[in-house]
Amino acid sequence: MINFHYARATDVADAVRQIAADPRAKFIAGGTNLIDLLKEDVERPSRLIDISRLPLKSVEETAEGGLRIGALVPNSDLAYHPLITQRYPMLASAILAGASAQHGDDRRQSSATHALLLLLRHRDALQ
Amino acid sequence: MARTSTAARSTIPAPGKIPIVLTINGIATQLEVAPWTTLLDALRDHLDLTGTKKGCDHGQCGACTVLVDGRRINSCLTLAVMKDGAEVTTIEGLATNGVLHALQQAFIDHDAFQCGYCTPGQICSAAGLIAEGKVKSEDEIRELMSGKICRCGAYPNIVAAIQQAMGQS
Repeated sequence: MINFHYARATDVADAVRQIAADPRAKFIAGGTNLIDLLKEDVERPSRLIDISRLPLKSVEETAEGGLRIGALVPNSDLAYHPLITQRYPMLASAILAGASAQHGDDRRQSSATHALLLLLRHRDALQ
Repeated sequence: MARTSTAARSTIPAPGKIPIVLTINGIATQLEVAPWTTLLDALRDHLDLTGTKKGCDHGQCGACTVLVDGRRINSCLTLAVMKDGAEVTTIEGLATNGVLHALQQAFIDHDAFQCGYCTPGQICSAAGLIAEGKVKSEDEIRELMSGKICRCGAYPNIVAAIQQAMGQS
């Protein structure tokens, strides 16, 4: 793995400020994708900005009847969340199936942003 | 490619080591790690806790599974600095006062390993699985233990061992 600097973002504004200050910096959240790419020399960031402690871990209902999923909600928490299992069972299945196919335990440490593709597929399947 | 690689490296000053504290198997441990040190390498190379195994080092085999704040994760895909302040449980921390953890005893009772290389990860993952409390059937054990590769193929025995430990917990 290449050498890089590490900094922890204190809040969302700080994360944005840090990523804007260094064009070769990358955010790291769960790390299950990025660290693998670092090991393969695919990603070569100068700095990792750790956003894993930011308060983006809630699943909330919106006034429009949808859900707002925090970007740092672990996949396993999302898949078993009551609002997901009740209203979007296919999404729950897709998250569990997707994570186990390649990464096993990653579903417990990777974040909901990792599942974005699954979310988009779910939406497309419903249309 | 190599030239680009060298040029990219030369533009980055060597970052210093970062002091962190991990509570490992109940013991608060201070260590200094480079930003790119994985939790797996910190455990094995910095703290001589070699019970946790490095298999694929890419999050696909599960041999490096440990519990961090009670959740099972692949320690090879986690940076040690990111876990500053966390509680880590490894295979070395499961037995209490010389008495094997129920899962360790169950793995012996059911011959749930041959070479044993994947076993620390299997047992730590099973401990996390039992704590999650979602498993009710044998099929669910198999599903939620996915990502734990046993090259010797001891899967039926591993499932039987987990069922035994679940019955005791």
